[in-house]
Amino acid sequence: MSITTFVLRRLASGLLLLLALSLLVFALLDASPGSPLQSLLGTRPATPELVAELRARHHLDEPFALQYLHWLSDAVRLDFGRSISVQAGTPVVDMVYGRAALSAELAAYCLLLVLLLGVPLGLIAGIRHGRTADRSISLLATVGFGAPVYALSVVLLYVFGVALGWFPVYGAGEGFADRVTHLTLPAVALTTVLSAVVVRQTRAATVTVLRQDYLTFARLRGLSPARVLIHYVLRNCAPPVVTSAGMLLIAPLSAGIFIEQVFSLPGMGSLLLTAVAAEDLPVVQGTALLLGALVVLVNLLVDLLGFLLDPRVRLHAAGEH
Amino acid sequence: MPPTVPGRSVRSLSRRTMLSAAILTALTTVAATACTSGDDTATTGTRRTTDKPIPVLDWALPNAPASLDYAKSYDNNTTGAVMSLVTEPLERVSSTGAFTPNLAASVTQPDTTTLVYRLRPGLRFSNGEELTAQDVAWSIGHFTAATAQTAALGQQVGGVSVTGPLEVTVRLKAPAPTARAGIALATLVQNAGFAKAHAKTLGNAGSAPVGTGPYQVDSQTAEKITLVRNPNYTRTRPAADKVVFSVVPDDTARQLALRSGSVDGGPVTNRKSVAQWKAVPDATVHASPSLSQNFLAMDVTRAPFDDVHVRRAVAHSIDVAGVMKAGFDSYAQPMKGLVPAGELAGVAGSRRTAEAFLDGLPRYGLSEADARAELAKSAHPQGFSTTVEYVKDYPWQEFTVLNLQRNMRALGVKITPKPVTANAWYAKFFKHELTGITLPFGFGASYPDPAPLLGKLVGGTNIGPQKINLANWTTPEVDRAQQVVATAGPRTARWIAAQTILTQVADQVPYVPLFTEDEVYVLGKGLAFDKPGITSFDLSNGSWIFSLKSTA
Repeated sequence: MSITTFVLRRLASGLLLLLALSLLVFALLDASPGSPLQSLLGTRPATPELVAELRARHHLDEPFALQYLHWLSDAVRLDFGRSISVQAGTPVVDMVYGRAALSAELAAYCLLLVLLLGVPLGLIAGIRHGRTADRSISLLATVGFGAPVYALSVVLLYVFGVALGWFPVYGAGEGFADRVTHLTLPAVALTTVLSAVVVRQTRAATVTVLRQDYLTFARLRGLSPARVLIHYVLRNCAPPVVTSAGMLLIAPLSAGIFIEQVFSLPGMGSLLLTAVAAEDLPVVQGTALLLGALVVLVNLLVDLLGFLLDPRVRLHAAGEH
Repeated sequence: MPPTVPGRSVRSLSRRTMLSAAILTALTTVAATACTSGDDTATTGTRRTTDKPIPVLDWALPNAPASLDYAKSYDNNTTGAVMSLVTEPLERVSSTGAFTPNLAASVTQPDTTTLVYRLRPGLRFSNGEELTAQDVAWSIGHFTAATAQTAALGQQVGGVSVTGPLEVTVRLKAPAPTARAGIALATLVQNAGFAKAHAKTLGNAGSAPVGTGPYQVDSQTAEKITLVRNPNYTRTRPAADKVVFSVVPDDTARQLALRSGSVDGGPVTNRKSVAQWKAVPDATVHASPSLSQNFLAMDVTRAPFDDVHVRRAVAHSIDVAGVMKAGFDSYAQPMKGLVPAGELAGVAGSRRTAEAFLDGLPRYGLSEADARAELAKSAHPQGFSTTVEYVKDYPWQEFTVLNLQRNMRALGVKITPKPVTANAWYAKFFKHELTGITLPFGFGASYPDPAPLLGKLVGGTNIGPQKINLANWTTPEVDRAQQVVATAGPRTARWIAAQTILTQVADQVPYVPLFTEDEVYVLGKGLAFDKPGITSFDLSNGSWIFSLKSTA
């Protein structure tokens, strides 16, 4: 199977998934307690003018299927309507615009730290399997994985923000250097939790690869340890690590909801949390669908990377064909 | 993602997880201890203030304003605090009901339904344009429009017209005791030309209203709003050269920000954490009673609450002090009548007179014996079943329902708590479909007078959609008294009418008064107010920034 066919097939399945998600997201309006009109009114008094405007704008007098089609046709043009209460009257897409960039920056920073920290530690643990280094790293990974994000964030804020004063306590900062400084503590908090996954994946993959015959032959052929590590161990460990790293790009969007709240970062997570708390349905629908699209996109990229990195995937795909 | 490990490792993981939790708990405890181990005396003393300029004041907001147009976001702690520094009121109203002239040099009332505002000459907007009567007339219309969140404050406004170069006349639909206050509280005067040119986006980022206040909006993001001095402002200037409103939603993060000096002050939204705020070195905490009202309503038109003995049994079954302590620590005050003394002081002549009257009203303290005795006299001596809805966003509501459920169980009364969303509650509220026991939230008088709430919570005219007599309760005497309270007239007559209503409410118990919440604000190192503290009135009328001084 060619790479084009592979991408097209994955794209088609991603689009189908998105379509199903869009239906679920739109159904939130009907599933909310009370009538759809009540959900759209929020805490505003039901004046005749407002009721008429909402009925017309959301096609509330039409059947559900038609309402969904109207909404979907707007959604594909990134028109999710206007916020009811979080930023009254502001188009949802305008609210998402700057926030998505901030969340993406946090996710990228976090991914960088996870890969810089998690992959080497996982490799060391795998190579030193069963020894003190392995046990220490595994213990650290478990502690990190089990750490409550909120408590960890508060401790980091207190120690590095207040007591030592090394990092700002809140906000996203302006300009590259300031932004990096502001995002460091949130990224460290997220990394502590998420790198445990990469450490464990890398360690497990390394232990498996180290037991393979081709590695014994490579050593017997007299290849240098560095070459064995980079060309044989790392390359064969890559597919599962890439898969987990892809998931790490998505994870900050869920774990990041609390991180963004504690560190006062106006990202997608905090927007979703605020919108849910304020029952601002258009914002919830817009952010949920966009986050869903992002998850589909990241999964597609991970699949593509796996396709390129692992010949077995290509062979399997060709066999299927 | 959970790790896939065999059974032995699962036990090991469990121990490790517990270890990590223990370490974090210890660290969190250290942080929390640090947050509660300050010098309490330093936070309560009065500080000497100076006239030294404050280069930047960073005020923390608990959430970003929904809009910078007060008509779209009527929230004192956010939009009010920010925009009252940019767009000014015609008059400033204090928490005691006193008026101070501002954009209006004088306000006269030639008859009971007419208000005439004469504006100060020579005032300019930050965009250089002169303030005109047209701007004021447009602004009053904007804030009293039916779709504005501030509409309730100006619902007595019948029409606004420009009657002179610097004169605006407001015609009222009926003589209303709080019409002048309502206009003063709601109308933050904007440049009408700018507002009309940005009608669709007014209040959004990049379209902040233009005003005559000491500051103008320099930038607005989801993270912060920055105000800089208005170059056209020529009156007495506040000490702060620049005001930054930083959005810090998490209460703990706000405390840490104050501790680190990153922010200079802000509101304390979680009253349970005031002790921690007070422990921040050099911080000053200001708490004052508010005009908020938390109470319980019972629909007297339906069984079993159509029976006064059932209602009294309910009143005897609430541990008000316990609920207050659980919800607000010591930062709430029990209500002795349906409205707090602050709302009655104006018509009573003094706060002391109002308090003396409220002290004399019958009380229904927590008592199982008294509740049992009342229920025995009712048509439901064996008890009854009812469902009580509560909004989870307001923890005190859940505490109240659970408290009632537990205390009435012994009487054979089965109460089923049912959580609902605020929107679902509002939907029923606006349609007047709340029945049984209702726990309203967010109620409070906009102005210290009995008309805004006492005049609307009772009486036949206040029963129906968009009206707030939640108990559907009235009597002929109360109907007459309600008309007097809600209409402008002699103070003594209104005070007598208010006493009539409060006495009958205390006797018939359509409502059970619970408590008022305190307003709490905190200031950090190097800053102080030149008066004992501030209230939400100061915050929404812009006077708070003039009270803020440096102590350096």
